[in-house]
Amino acid sequence: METIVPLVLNALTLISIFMIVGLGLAIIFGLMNVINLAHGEFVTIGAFTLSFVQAMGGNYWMALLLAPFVGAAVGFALERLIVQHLYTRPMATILATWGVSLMIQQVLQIVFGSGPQQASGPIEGSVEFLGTSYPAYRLLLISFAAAIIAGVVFIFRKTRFGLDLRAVIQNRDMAEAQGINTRRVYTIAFCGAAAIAAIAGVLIAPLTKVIALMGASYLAPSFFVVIVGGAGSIAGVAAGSAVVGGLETVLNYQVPVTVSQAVVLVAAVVIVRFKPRGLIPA
Amino acid sequence: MLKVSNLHAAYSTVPVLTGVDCELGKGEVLALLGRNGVGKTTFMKALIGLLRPTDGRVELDGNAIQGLPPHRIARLGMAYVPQGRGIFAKLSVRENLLVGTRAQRDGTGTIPDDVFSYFPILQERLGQAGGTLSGGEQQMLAIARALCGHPDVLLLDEPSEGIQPSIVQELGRIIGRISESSGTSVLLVEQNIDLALETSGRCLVMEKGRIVHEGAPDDLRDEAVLSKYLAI
Repeated sequence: METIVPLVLNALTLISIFMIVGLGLAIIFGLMNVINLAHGEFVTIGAFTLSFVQAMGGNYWMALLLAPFVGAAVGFALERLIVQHLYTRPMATILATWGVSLMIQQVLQIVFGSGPQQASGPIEGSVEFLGTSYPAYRLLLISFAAAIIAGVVFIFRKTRFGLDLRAVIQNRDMAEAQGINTRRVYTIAFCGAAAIAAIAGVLIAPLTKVIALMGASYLAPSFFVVIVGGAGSIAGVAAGSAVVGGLETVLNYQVPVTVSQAVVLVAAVVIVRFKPRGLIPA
Repeated sequence: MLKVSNLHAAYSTVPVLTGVDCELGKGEVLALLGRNGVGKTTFMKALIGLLRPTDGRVELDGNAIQGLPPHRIARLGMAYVPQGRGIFAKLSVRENLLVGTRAQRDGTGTIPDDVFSYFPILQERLGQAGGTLSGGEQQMLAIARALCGHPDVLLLDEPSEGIQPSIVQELGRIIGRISESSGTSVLLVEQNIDLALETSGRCLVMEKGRIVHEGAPDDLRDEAVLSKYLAI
């Protein structure tokens, strides 16, 4: 019992992080077939929002409220200025978003320097949980991630916009012919994905080193998650996160980190070999 | 209701429509016939805006609509049921119909009752995923979804394709009822000559991207005319 509970909670922490980062990626990839290599930078932008707000004397909660708006604003600019003009050219989108990703990294380095930024969570210390002592902030992160997922599921399933989005994911031309302004749906979805990634950045920041290049370390596992789970469905993201995050955490207890990451990659390849469209395709 | 003049359209540089002229009156059912590959489906795509016409003019109820994005054309009163039906397989029947209401001009977003009077079976299937319906039911769903936007003009591309004969006859009767009771104009593309001739009040024949013959359905029952244009 003493080892199982922290193991499960560690796995849940990693799964939560992968889910909220992967969610936006899955929506953009599944919806628009856009491989957004700048997605990791929205996480970075969220983390820097926390550092900046705290450096200005604000607190964690202000940053958590502000970050989605900052992320959505940058996402809006990226979608309207660049991505929207390249929807029919997937290769060009990959290059363009990669370029934007480098630009954001460099601008952040020029403005804030290349050293790690200060960022701290709203609560410190550990709490007793199911017989073990566990960092309180990680429990908070898991609950926030669960709330965000629940919110996104609600929007997907129960709102007018969610129905439009699901229709567009299945067949853009027919959705357009039914009277849905699919270009507007794209823009809103892109901004939403960026906002969620920025919130993820705030949640992650107190647990990690906040530097301009941090986005890359979340981008790669998130792509695993989306490809293993299946692009364009929330259930797919959940399945992919559970497999990738769960496996990685469990293996980290047994073998060195590099080996566990290699094993996860092999597992991902095997899964995709047998389920080419992911575990739960859209 | 719909007036098309000198419509041209192309796939990249290959011209498909080379000057289509036609008119569709209010409440009229107009059949468009022709061999495979003469441009019938392309014509429909150009009308709804999924393919941008390269030249010509399309007027819907007096408004020029050529070059507008499809969602604007849909909201101006044109509905499109594509070949292969184009239903959203993973959305429920109710959700498919709700998506159809996005084209409504009053924007209430409620599914009109009359679609269930045309297709009562859909009422029983509301919660079922569209993809689990039979081919005939999917076609009914596609037409019902189009009607949810209260269209003035309904474009039907091969509604009989892949559907059992008894249901094809029923579809023909329903298309007639729709145009009579709601005044919706219907442009019907059909390979099933019997269905086209029985349902429509007037027929056009397309060849190489333009209209080459116009006449009453009875003219086309004549074997000589049929074989000239349709090689049957």
